[in-house]
Amino acid sequence: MSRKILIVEDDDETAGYVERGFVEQGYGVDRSADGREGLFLATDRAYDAIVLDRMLPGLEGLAVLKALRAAGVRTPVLILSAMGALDERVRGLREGSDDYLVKPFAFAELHARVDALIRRGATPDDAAPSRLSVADLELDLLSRKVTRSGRPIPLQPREFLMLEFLMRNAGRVVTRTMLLEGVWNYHFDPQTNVIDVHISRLRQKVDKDFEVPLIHTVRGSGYTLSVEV
Amino acid sequence: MPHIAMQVRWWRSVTVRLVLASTVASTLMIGVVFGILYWRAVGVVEQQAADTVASEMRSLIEHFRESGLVDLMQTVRDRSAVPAEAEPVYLVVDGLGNRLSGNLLAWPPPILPDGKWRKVELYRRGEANPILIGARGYQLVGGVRLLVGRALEGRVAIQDAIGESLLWALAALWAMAVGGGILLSRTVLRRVGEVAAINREVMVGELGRRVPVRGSGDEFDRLADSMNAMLGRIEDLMVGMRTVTDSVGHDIRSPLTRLRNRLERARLAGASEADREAALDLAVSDVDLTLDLLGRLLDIARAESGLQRGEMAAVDLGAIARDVVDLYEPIAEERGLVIEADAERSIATAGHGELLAQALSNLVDNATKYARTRIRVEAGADGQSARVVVSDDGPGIPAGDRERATERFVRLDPSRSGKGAGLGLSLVAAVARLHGGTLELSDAEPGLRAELVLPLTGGRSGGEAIGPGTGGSPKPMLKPYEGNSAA
Repeated sequence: MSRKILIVEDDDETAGYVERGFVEQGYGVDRSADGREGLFLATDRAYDAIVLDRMLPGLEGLAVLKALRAAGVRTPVLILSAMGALDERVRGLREGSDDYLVKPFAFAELHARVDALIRRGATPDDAAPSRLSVADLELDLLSRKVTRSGRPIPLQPREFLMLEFLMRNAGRVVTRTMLLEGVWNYHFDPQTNVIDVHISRLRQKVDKDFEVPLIHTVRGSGYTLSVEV
Repeated sequence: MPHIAMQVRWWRSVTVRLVLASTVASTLMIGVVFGILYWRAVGVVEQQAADTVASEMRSLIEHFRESGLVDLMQTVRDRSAVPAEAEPVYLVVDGLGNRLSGNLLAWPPPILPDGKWRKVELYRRGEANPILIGARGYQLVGGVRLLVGRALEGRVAIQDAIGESLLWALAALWAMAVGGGILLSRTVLRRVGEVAAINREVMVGELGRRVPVRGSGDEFDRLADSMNAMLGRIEDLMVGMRTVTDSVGHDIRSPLTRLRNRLERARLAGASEADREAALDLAVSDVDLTLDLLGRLLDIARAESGLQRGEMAAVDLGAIARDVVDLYEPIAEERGLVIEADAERSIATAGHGELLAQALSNLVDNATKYARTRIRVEAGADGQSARVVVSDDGPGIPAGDRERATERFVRLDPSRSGKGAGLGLSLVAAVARLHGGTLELSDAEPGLRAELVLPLTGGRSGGEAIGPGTGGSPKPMLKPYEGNSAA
């Protein structure tokens, strides 16, 4: 089943770039350049995710979001905006968006985030597992222990959080900024690429003594944890 | 520029309203004072008349007892005939009420012959208005009664005198009110005018102008002080803005020019496919660099503008320091550096957690670039301030350059062609200022010691030293992407 995405964005160039990207990835895409029309489409049709700009003609992005949530539409919404200050981000999340990406952005980043949103939206909230597992890698959320093929892997607390994040998004691309936001709760970009070193350290522990590597680098995007490359 | 009413209409002026209000209040007060005065004066005059009448009555009774009725009648007749200023009233009647002597026609019924002071209104012969008489009556032997009284005309004189004084007082008051009002409004208007004039000058671009402070500590000085503080802030913001524009002009334009030239060359007819490919790759990284630069500039500008002050919350500087150390620990290790952290367990202060983390990560990032063997991060607090110190054993910054090091786009080591844009320390300085704190650079002997000092707001608890690789606090964190089950 093809996933459907609504892009509400008044800049034709950006909207076209995002649309092409998602179509290439096999998504069905609808586009709207107007807030009011976007709201109409979003309430009328079933989308898997909505990419919403903030400064829109017709109806401002946050107002669209508010109206959507008030109407009981729970479709995951990612706000894509040039307004990057932390308070703007907080406002966006408070109004009911599920993620916030600041322009300029790389499509890989947007794709990874939308993918994560759709996946999250598809799983029921009450199914909170106490264990995560990918292939022979198992992570116990309660005892905070990790084993691979039954062998315990000792991890530092932060490494545990990173692995947990990767495993929750198993099979999908996780970008460096997603890791920074999800594991450290930082929304700024450290000047040196510290995340790569953290990942390589984690790799040492998780993959080194095993035949099949699980943590893979996705060139130009980030990382993914899966059995197949 | 908005239209400014230069002339304050007089009836709208605050001075006129103040003077009017105080004049009305003083007039009322003077009225009350004169009323009391009148009431008291009248009382005194009447008391005097009552006393005089009593003693005259006593002497007449004495006279009657010694000399008999005929002599009394004669004396009363004599006294009634003498025209006196105090208008005395006398009457002697027999048992049937017939007048025997005196200047009253008949005994006025309100006056009882019991010696008590009573007042009655009587008419003079041929006059339409009554006059007020105060009198005492007395029963002599054989039904004969004696009345002695005084016209209380003194009241009228007092009324006139007090009324006249009242008029004079009011006239003086009103004259003072008008004069004082004019004087007051001149002074006030002049000083208000000064402030308005300075404001206009600032508005047309003379950002350095300030309202003069007289040093008298009065309301106008207080106004001038806060006004000047505001003007200073505006000037800071404008200068900051100008610096940003200048910096953007310089440092964004040059990579863009480079980018343009590269694309131009790639478009030339002779360029090979490989050349174009390479040019495109370089172009993308150029653009990324420029965007990164722009983002950092905006971060600094936002921190400097103080606009994020509204997001200040209670933060734990110790936890922030530990988290940042935790983030940089692997990369430090990779570069062969030891990173040590010594942070107190909890340093409660008010701040912008994210910006503080960013500032601190800039300091640690710098240290990982310049340190030779080790980096040390300490966080602590004393009574007034919280501080985070990041020191390394690298080349340090010469004393003369430290001031300049926190300015935008200053890269002190020109040989270093690293990717830093020279914005790191200026962001830290801006974040420090946003929090009302400072960034102090000094010599770590050898190396650089950067100390971020913030004013403290909360208490703190015992210290805790954490070594490399002990990880951060396992506090719950926001995880916007986490799903609920694994694949």
